[in-house]
Amino acid sequence: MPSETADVITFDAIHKHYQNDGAKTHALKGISLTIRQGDFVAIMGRSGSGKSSLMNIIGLLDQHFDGEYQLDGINIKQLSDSRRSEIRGQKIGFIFQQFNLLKRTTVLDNVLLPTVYAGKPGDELRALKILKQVGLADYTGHNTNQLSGGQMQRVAIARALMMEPSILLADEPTGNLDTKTAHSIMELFQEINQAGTTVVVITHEDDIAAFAKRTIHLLDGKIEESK
Amino acid sequence: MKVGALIKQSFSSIAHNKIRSGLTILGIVIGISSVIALVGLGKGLQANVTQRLGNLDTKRMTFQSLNPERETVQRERGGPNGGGAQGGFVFQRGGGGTETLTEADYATVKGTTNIAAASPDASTQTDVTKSADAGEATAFQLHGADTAYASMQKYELTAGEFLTETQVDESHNVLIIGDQAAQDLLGSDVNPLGQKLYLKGTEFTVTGVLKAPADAPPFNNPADNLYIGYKRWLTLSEKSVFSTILADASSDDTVDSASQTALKAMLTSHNITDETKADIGVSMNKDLLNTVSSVAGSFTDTLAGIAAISLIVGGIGIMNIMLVTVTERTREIGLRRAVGAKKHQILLQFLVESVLLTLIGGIVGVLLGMIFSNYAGAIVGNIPGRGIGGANASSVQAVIDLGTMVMAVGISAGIGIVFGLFPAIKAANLDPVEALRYE
Repeated sequence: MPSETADVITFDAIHKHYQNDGAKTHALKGISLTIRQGDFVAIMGRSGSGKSSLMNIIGLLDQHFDGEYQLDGINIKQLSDSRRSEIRGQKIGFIFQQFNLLKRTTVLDNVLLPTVYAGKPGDELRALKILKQVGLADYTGHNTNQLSGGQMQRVAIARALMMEPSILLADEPTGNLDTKTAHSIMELFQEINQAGTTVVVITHEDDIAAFAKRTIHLLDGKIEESK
Repeated sequence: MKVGALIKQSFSSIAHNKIRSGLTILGIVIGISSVIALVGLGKGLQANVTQRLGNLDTKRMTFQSLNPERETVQRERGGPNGGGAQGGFVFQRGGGGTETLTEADYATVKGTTNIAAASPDASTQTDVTKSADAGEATAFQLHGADTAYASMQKYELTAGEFLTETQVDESHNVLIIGDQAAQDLLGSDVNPLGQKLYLKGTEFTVTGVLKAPADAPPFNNPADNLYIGYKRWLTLSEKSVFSTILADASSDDTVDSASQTALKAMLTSHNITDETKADIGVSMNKDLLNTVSSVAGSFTDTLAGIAAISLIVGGIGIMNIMLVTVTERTREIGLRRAVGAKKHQILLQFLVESVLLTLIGGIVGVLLGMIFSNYAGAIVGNIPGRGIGGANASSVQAVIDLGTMVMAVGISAGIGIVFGLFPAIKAANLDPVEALRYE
């Protein structure tokens, strides 16, 4: 495990271009930033500011960018697709606005999903422990379509924590939730962060960003403000 | 990713869309059951025909007279597959002026190495009466034969004995009569043995009665015929030649060599060196058996080929439904990629799913095919007029061996791989970002 002050994410002059029907879009214009172990960072910005592009690159879902990106000291640009998949599975826990749970599948099986691809036997005890931590101890056998939005997002958080990732990457995690539920989810993120996990939340809502220790504002593909 | 987890996942995905999966599987079930039913039926017919022809003695060769003047393909040796000894069949019966086999030829055949038994098989329509001066005669088929004839033809003597060597060689006026002919001529109350019958006005004594074997043909049935020594037949018919000489080789292995040796010797004695001008031909039962068996085999293959077309249709159905599945589950694929699935693991997941669909279809298809083929066998068997030798062919039993079943299940799995590969590759190559964003 990296030490308290170790850099988890280092971006050095990251550029991202899109080519759509001949039109070229410059989505990220030389982003440089560092996120350390134990950080809780909110990345904010309006629609089109480059938030999602940044998240895709951080999450190793997009390798077509210019510049240097190091995750836990590993230079991402030199990795094969297969190795990137492995690192994604081991080091990054994803949380999406749409929850992205497997339908008609139990809560427990959803949480165990990352272990299927990790080549390890599913550690049910750990899954149950995490489900207890996110407040779903009584729902392990339920199908996900029987749950409320807040409960579904908790399942997604439990799934993201399953492989003990270096970083939790949440893309608008409260976008589909009411304010009360959204705040309870953010409190859960705070608890997880306090336990040592680095959390990066992408949001456009100030009250959600307020839960983070640090906020990065993006505007037209550049960092406008970081505090 | 473990195989067990993959299969469990695929089963659950198939179970989620029961009707759709069921209909997709149905395409394979129809294809596989058709192949199984038709192959089973074809093999059953093949076995049936072979079994019926199995009564034919495979050591048997038949020398026949050919008309050297008639330049026809019938006489050409070697079929489309080539090979002299496998030569074409000569179905041409000795008609007017075509008989060329002499007593000397018969002696040649009989004296050839590895010929175990031989007999001329000559016949003419002959008037038969019960008294020398009877006004109305009945025409019967009169055969000239040697002593081995009855045993070679598997005729059973119900009374008396067949022709003896002395009776044949010394042209005795003795007669063997088929039991049906005896009944027709003498009535059912009279013991035919010792009775006098007049062939073309010449008195013959009945010394034996034979009955036809169970599989004898309804036409020219041996029970309706009369038999005398071949030498006596020649003089009575005022002939010097036969149409046919039958011979049995000592074993299946010597049929070819013995028949060729005898044929060459006879042609040499006829001063014929050009094979195309041969006035004698030979055919062998084993060739007939091979040909019929191979025709039945081709028939089976053709049926299976036609049925296999429906499998391709089923396969296209699989591909179609897997493409729909991949599209429907695009977000899920994106999620799986996000939680660490590699491309090949996604590919494998969808491939296993399509193979499972076709395997289930294959297994159900084999079971249904077995049921269908039994019904089809019964229907084919009950078609009137079918069967060889007029025997009832209701015994057509579909033959489905383990090999066919394993092959069918293997083919169905193969279809799953072939037709599932494209959708699986499509799934594996989805861009995770696009997949996660898919609505």
